[in-house]
Amino acid sequence: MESGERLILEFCETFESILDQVSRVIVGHREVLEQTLVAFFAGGHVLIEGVPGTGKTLIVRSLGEALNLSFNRIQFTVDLMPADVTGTRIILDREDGRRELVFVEGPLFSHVLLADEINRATPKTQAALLEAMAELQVTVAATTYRLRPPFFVLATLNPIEMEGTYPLPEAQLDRFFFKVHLPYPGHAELKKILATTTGADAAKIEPVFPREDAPTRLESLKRLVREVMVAPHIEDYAAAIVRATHPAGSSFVKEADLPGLTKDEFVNKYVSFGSSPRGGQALILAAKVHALLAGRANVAADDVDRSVVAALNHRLVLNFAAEAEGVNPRIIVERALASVRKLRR
Amino acid sequence: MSNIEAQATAVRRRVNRFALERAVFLTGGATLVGFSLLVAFAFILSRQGYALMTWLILASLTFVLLSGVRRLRRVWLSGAEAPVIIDHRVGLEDRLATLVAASPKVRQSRLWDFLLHENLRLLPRWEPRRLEPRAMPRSVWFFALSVLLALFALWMTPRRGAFGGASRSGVGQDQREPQAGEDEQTAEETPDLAPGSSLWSDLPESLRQAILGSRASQNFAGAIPEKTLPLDEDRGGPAIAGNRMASHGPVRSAPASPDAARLAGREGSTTNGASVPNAARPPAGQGEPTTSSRPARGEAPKELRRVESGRAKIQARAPQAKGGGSGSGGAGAGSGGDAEGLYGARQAHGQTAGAFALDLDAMRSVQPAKEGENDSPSAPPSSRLADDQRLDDAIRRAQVPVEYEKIVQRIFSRVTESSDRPDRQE
Repeated sequence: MESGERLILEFCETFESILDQVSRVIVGHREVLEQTLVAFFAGGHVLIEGVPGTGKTLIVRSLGEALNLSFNRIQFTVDLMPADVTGTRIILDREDGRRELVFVEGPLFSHVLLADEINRATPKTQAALLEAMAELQVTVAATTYRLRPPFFVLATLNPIEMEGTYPLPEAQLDRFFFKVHLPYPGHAELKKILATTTGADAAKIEPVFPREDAPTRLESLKRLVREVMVAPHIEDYAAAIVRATHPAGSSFVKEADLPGLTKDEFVNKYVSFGSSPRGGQALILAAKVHALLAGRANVAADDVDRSVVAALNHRLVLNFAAEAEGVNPRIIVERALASVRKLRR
Repeated sequence: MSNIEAQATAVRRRVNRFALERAVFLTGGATLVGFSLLVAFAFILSRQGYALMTWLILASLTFVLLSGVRRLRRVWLSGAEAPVIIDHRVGLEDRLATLVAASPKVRQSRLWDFLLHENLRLLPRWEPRRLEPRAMPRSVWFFALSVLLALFALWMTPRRGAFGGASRSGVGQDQREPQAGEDEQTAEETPDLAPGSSLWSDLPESLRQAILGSRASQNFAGAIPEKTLPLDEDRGGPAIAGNRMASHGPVRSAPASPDAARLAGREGSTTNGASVPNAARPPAGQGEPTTSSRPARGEAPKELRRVESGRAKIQARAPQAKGGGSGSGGAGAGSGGDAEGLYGARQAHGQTAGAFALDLDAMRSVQPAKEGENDSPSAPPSSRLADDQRLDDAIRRAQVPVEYEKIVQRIFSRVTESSDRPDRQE
C-alpha cells in the first residue's frame, strides 16, 4: 500500500513541478500545458493548433527544459526532405583511408521534438514522422534505428496562410494523441506576458530531474500510468464514446454493429469517418493520467470525460456538408459524449 | 477483499429486497385500493358508470403493475452490476467496481494494494444500512392503509346492502333504474330490479316474496312490509298483500293482507253505505266509479310500481269518492270483485263472508253508513280492535302464505262456479 500511494504522490508532485516550471515562462494556457503533459505521460504526441505568436514554440522549448531532456526543433518548409528529419547516410573517410557509409542522426533523434508548422512540409516529409511517432524507430536504407525514450513530438499547425500548405493526412493526424487548440491570451495574461518577456531578467526554468536521471525517471512514471486499473464498465463507456462518432451510413460499419451505434443525427449528417481505435486508447490512457493526478489507482468515468474532446476531435473526418455549414468537430464530439452520458446509469 | 465482497453481497440483497418490497407494496396497495373503489362504486354508480369505472380501475392497475415491474427491473441489482451501482450511489469513483472486477493479471499492479486499501477505508461509507437506511419502504404505509380500506369496504358491504335495500323501498326509488353492481348484493331484496339475475327471476313471485319477508325480518324487521308492500299512509300498514300474485282469469283472489282488506272495506263502505269489509276493489284508474252496491271490478296490480301509482291515485281521487263515486282504486287488493266475482254475492249482503277465512278484519265492527253519509271519505272506519291491537304489526302485517292463497282460490273458484250455475240456468 505504501509503495502504491508513494508512487502516486511522486507522480503528482512531478507533474505539478513540471507544470510550475513551464508556467514560469508560459503565461496562461494552463489547460494546454496540462493536456500536453498528460499526453507526454501517456506516451503520446501533441498537435498544437494556434495562430503565430501565441507561444507554441516556447511551450515546447520550456517543456524540454523542465524535463531536462534533449530537445530539437524542425521548421517544416516545402523543400524539407525526409532525410532532413530522420537523418541520412554519408560517406565517411576513415583514418586508414577506407571509406564507409555512416548514418548521421537527424533531429528526430531526441527526446522532445518540435515540428513547427508541420503542414508546410510535403506529405512525403510529413510521413517521415509516422514511423517514429508510432513505433519509436526510424528506418533508413533498410536499417532500423531505435529512438531513445522518452520520445515526444510536439507539432504545431498554423491555421492561417493556408496557401502552399499540405494538410496533414488522416493517418498522420491519427498518430497524435491530442490535438490542442491554443487560443489567444486574455487581457490579464497578455499584460503579464508583456511584463515578463520585455524585462532585463528573463525567467529561467529549473529542471525537475537531473540530466542523466530524467529519462529513466520519466519512463518509470509513464509505466506507472499504464498500471492504473480500469473497470470493465469504464472500458465499455470509452468504447461507446468512440462508437458514437461512427456514422451509421458508413460502409466500414458492420451491419451487426449497427443497432449498437448511437443514432445521433449530427454524426450521421456531418461525419464521413469516425474515430479510430487509437482514439479509444487515447481516451483510456489520458484517463489513467487524470486518475493518478486525482490520487486514485483506478479510472473513473469522469476521468474519461475530461479528455474526450482533445482525444477525438482531430480523428473525425467531416464531410462537405459540415465544412459548408461550418460545423466544428469539437461540437460533434461533445454531442457524441452527451449521447453516451445519457446511457450511463 | 472478502470483507468487501461480503458487504457488496449484503448491500445487493438489501437493495433488492427493498426494491421488491416496494414493488409488492405499491402494486398490492394499488390493487386493494382498486378493489375497495370497485366495492364502493357498486353502491354509487349506475351500471354503465360502474362498468366504465371498472375498466378504468383495471387499466390503472395494469399500468401500475407494469410500472412496478419496469422499475423493479431497473433497480434490481445483479451480481455484476452491484459494485457499479454502489459506486455510483455512494460516489466511490469506480473504486469498488474496479476492485471487484480486477483480473489476476491486473492485481499484479503496483497500485493494487493502494486500491484495496482505499476500498477498505471507504467501506463504512457504503454499509447496507447507509445505502438503504430504511428497513421497510415507505410504501408499506400505503399498503397498510389500502388493507384497512379494503377491510372497511368488505365490512361495509353487507350493511350497505341492508341499508341500501331499505332506502330503496321509498316511493320513487323503486322506479329508478337498477344499478350495476347492486345486482348481486341487492338482487335478493329487489328481485325485479335485478334483471340480470335469471336465477332470482325464475323463482315464483310468491316464493320470492316469502324469501324476502323471512330474510328481511331477520335483518331489518321494520323495513320488511315497507319494502315488500307499500305502506298505506292512512293506516300505517301495507296497502295490499299478495299484490304480486299472478292473475288467473276470472278467479279473483282475496286480499291477503288484513290492511288491504280493511282498505277495501272502507272504500266499499263509502260507496254503498254498507259495511262491506274486504270488498275487493280494482286498483286506481282501473275501477270505474259506480253507485251500485257492487264493488268495482278491477284487476289486481301485478307489480309494485303499479300499486304505488294506484295508491297515489287513490289520494288524488278521494274527492271523487266523496261525490258519491264508488271506491275506485283501493290499493289493488288482489283482484277486484263484482257480483259475478269472487265476493260479489256475499258482499252484496253486507257480510264479511265475502272475505276469505284469513281476513283479520272480520273482527271489525263496521257501522253501516247511511245513504248520503258515505260521502265523507274522511270518516275513519271504526273497529272493535283496540288501539294496541291495531298497532300490532306482527298480526296486521302477517303475510298470507302462498299455499293458503292457492287453496282459497281453488275453494272459491268452486264456489263461484257453483254460484254461477244457477244464474246461467236462470
